[in-house]
Amino acid sequence: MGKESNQSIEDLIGGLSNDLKPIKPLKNTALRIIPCMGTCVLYMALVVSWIGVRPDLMIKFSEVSFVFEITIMSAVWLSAALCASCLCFPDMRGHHWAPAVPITLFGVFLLWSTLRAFQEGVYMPEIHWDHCFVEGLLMGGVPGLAMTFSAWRGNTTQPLWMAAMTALSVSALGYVGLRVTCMVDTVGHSCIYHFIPYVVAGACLGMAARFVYRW
Amino acid sequence: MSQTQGEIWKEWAVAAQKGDKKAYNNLLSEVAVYVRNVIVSGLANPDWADDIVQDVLISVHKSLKTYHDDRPFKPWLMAIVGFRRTDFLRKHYSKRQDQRTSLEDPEFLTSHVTNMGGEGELKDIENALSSIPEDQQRVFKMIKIEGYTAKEVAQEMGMSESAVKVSAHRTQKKLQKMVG
Repeated sequence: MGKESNQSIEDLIGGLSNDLKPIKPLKNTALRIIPCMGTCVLYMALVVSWIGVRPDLMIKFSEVSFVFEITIMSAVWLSAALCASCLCFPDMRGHHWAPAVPITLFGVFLLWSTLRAFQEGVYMPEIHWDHCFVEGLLMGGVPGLAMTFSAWRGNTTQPLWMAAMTALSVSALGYVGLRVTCMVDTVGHSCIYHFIPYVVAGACLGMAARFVYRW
Repeated sequence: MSQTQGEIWKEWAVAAQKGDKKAYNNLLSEVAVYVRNVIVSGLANPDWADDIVQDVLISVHKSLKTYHDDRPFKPWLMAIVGFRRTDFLRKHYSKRQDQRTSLEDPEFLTSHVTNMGGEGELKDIENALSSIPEDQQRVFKMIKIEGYTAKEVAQEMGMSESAVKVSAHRTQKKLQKMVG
């Protein structure tokens, strides 16, 4: 058995060596993600202009809390996308700390939302089919696909983390888009209509992660 | 200054990315031996090592483009080894292959199979067990000797899980009284 298995490994090595062709190493993390993020920003701009920005957007930008919300979720989007790019490499190029950044930022956002809920009230809406579901999925669909295609070019050894970072990045981007188009500012509406679709999509991606990101 | 193994592999990997088949052959040959030595001690069945090594070599081939020469080679390799090893074990545990081993490796038998000279010492227990009703015997053997879970035995025997556990417990108590 030992001799046979050695022979089969030697045959495999011989076969792989014969198949070898010159290859160009993947670009580094940041360079890889720039085209993908550029596509996402362009797409979001098109979708937001098609849906129409909220009429009071300029007034909202003078509010510190609104600017803080947009800024922190943009930071979550950016850091999660960079982390997903790191995850395309088997050893994450040594950046094993990368997932901590978007998770911490998202934690800060959740804490801030909780404090807002205590201060302003939650105002949980009645659950029904809302335009925010459709707009949210429209905003997240293409960026999600773009990030998944980008991940397929790499070789991740952590498919669950890859799914989590993709979901977090797309959710954050979609949330920013929805805050710019939807006039309802209550915490309850944000949770149910701006987040839940992404949570569901992220959970589905997580369950299929080993299949989606296999190589 | 002499180079470490990792530095030599790094050079071969970079050469392989440029299409150097000889360097690639050397790299894979040494990596195969290294990976086998690393993983075999942690496996229930040493026969699995060769399958995992083959998976790792194919993965190295597929992911060679993700290696950069500004990073050490071994962490990159070990990330792939850990990933493929976990993948392999997950597939096998789901098919209960962890309950099977090889009888062809005498070294493995002496180190992993206990009580090899103890055949017949369990005759008292076997005699006591044969005096118990067949259904209870079967439940007891499946749980205590063959290592099935109560849920699996319940499905096999068409009983509830709690009934299986009660039956196994009562049989054990009876055997303890008989054998002393």
